[in-house]
Amino acid sequence: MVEHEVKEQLREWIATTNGSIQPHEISDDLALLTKNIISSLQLMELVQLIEKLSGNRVSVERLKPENFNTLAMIYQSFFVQQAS
Amino acid sequence: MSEKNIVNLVDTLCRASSNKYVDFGAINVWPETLEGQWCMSPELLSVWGTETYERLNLEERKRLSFYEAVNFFCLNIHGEKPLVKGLVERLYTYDDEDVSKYLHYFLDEENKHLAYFGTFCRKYAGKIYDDKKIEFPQDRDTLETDFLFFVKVQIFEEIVDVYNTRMAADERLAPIARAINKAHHIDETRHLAFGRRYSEILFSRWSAGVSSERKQAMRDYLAKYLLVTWKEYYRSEVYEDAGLVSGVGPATDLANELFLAESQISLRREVSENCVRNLMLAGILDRQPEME
Repeated sequence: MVEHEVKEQLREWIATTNGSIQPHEISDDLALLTKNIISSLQLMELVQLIEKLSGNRVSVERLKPENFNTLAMIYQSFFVQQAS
Repeated sequence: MSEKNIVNLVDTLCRASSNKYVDFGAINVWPETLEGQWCMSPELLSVWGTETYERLNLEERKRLSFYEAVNFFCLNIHGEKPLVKGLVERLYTYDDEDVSKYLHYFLDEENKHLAYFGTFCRKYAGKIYDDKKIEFPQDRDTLETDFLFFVKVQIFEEIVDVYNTRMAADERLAPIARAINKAHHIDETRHLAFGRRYSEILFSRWSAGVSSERKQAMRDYLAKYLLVTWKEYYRSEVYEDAGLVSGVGPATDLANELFLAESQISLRREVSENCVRNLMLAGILDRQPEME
C-alpha cells in the first residue's frame, strides 16, 4: 500500500472516530493529540489499524506521544521506519 | 460509605489478609504440558456464541482456550504491574494513614499474582503478550490522579474477578488453570472490597471541587475506559497463535468481527453487570455504558 492510500485510510478512521471533523480537514501536520482530535483511549484502536495497514505488529511499550501527534509522524514512525 | 467507616474496613481486611496469607510456593504443581486441556471456560471465550466457535473442532477450541488463557493472564500482568508501581508510590504519602497500612498487604498479594501469571505464560506459551493499552502522562492534580488510579484498578479487577470466579469452579479446566484463578479470586475479593469503598471516597472528595461539566467528562472517560478494557480480550495475536487465521490483517479483522458479535456484546454486558452497578451506586457512573 502506497503512502497516499495509507494516509487516506488513516484520515477516514480519524474522521469517523472523532465524529466532527472531515477527512479533508486532516492535514499531514494537524496536531491530533494536543488538539484532542483523538484521545489516548483511542490509541489502542489506532494501533490495531496501523498493524493491519502495515502488516507488522507494533510494540507499544516504547512509544511516545510524538509518534501519534500528526499524520506525518504516524506514517514516519510506523510505515517508513518499518520498511527501511 | 463514610470516610470513618473505611478505617474499620481496612482493619478487617488487614486481619483477613494476615489470616489467609499464602506463600508463592503454595501453587507448586506445574504439569509439563497442558496439551489437549481446557484452560479457559468455553463460555468465556471471545468466540463463544459465534460462527467461528461452531466452525472449530474440539481440539481447536481447546487450543484457542489455551491462548486466550495466556492473554487473560497477560492482561492481569499488565494490569498489576502499574498497580504495584502505583501502590508503592502511594505508601506513606497519604493523609489516610490507615489506608497505607492495608496497601502493604495489597502490594504483597499483587506481587504473588504476578509471579503465578508470569510463570504460567512463560512455562507454557514461552512468552508474554505485550500491553496494548497506551497511556501518556496527563496534567492532572493529585486527587484526580489518585481517584483515576483506584477506579481504573477497580474496573479492571471487577471484570477479572468474574472470570476468576467462574473458572475457579469449572471442573473441565486443567487443575493449574483453576488453581491460579482460585488463588487470584480469594485475594481479589478483599482488594475489591477496599477498591470499591476507596474509589467512592476519592470520587466524593474530587467531585466536590469540580464543575458538573468536568464531572460528566470524567464519567464519559470512564465509560470509554471500560470499553477499551474489554477490547483487550479480543487480541489478534491469539487468533494467529491458535491457528484460526494467518497474517496480521486477517487476525485484526477477526478480532473486530468477534468484538461486534451479538453474543459477545451480551457476554460483556453480563460480565460487566457488577462493575457497572457498583460504579453507579457510588455515583461514579450515571448510566449504563455502551458495550460496542
